[in-house]
Amino acid sequence: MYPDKFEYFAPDNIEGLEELLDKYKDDSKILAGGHSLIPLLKLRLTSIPYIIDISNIKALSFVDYNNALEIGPMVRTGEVASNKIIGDKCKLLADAASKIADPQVRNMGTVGGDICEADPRNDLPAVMLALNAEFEVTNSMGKRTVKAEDFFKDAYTTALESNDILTRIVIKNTENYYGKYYKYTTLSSDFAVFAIAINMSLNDNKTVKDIGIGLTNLNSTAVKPVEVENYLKNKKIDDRVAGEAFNLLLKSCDIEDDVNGTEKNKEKILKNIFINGLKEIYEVL
Amino acid sequence: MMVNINVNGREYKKDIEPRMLLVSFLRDELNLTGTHIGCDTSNCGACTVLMDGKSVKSCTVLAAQANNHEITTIESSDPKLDVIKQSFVEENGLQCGFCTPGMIMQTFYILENSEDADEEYIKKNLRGNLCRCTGYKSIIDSVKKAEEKVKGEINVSK
Repeated sequence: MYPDKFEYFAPDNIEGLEELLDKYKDDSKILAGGHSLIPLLKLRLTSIPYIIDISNIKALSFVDYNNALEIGPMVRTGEVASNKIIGDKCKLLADAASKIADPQVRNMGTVGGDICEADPRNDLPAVMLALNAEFEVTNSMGKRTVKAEDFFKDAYTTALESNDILTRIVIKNTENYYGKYYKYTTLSSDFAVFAIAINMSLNDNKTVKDIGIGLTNLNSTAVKPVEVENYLKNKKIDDRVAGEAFNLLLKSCDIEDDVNGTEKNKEKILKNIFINGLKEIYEVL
Repeated sequence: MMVNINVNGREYKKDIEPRMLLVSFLRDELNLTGTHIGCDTSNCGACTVLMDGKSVKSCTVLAAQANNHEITTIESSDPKLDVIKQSFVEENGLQCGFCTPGMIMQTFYILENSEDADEEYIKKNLRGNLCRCTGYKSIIDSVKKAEEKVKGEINVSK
């Protein structure tokens, strides 16, 4: 299968990228790893006249820790899964990255691409919501910061304008946090039927100090169930509290019968995954 | 557009369309037809090659993305690759053989990146390679045998 014809650019600095985006606007699209974009182009589900490959821009590929974890959008998901700093500082992100697709896909796919494409089945949007991540967004006019909870608008739709570039992912909720990504799939290398990202920290008296939750493929885009987070804060997690939290969680979900199961069956699996996940993380902390 | 791609240690300069996929570049431009097109949707892994030492699915990489990078294919004469091929023969790691180039390249990647790959690790890392003859048991045995041989040779040469 061949994509429709396009012109290809591969600038090696951000200024060059800004210029191209200003020039071609909606007719252009950034190519990061390409593992969502190239299939879409090959299946002719979309056709884009100007493709801008950003893999030559070194300034978009970094992992740093300076009171907060800072990650460049071009870091490959395989690198996210195995990077020592990320593994030390953010268990949730490392865990989720290791569960994306298969090794070959992770060697090409990038953290920024996963976030900016905002496919409701992508794993990292929910993880970013659970981590309360912040995104540095750059265009030729300057920089601004967008919180993850303000970033994901709808399926394939984010707060990014056509000339915006995600240039930095900042995660502050790292010290004393522990988290995991619970992914339910029918085929291990496939997209999630659904998944839950949980990041938690505790007070000295074993009550929940802070908790972030993100949901994958349970609505038209990744969802942050703020009501559930607020309910769980300052509580000890036991079966009753977890059960009540799940009832609140369902309000953020739009579960339907499909090829992966009936609504009732999926709800049952979701309940098990969520409650066991909460308890598992609580016990580790 | 002009691309300059190093394939199995040899530089190739070619004028290609930007939409050309890496797998088509290898098969149609360079006549290296060992890399197979299976599903053409980045599921099956038959098109697996190494780009700068990392395994990728060449049906989902533009040849343009490989510009100025090093590609290793099943045709490479790397001695380690020969050991893996031989192990697949000895352990009957193939039936129809269509998925085999991808299986072997991913095995090469596994052995290059892990000194002690147990069965769990091998299975996890062959996740992106499908065999429709359902010969996974003998494929995993082939990887294990290749690993033993590679380790053995390192010990001998030391």
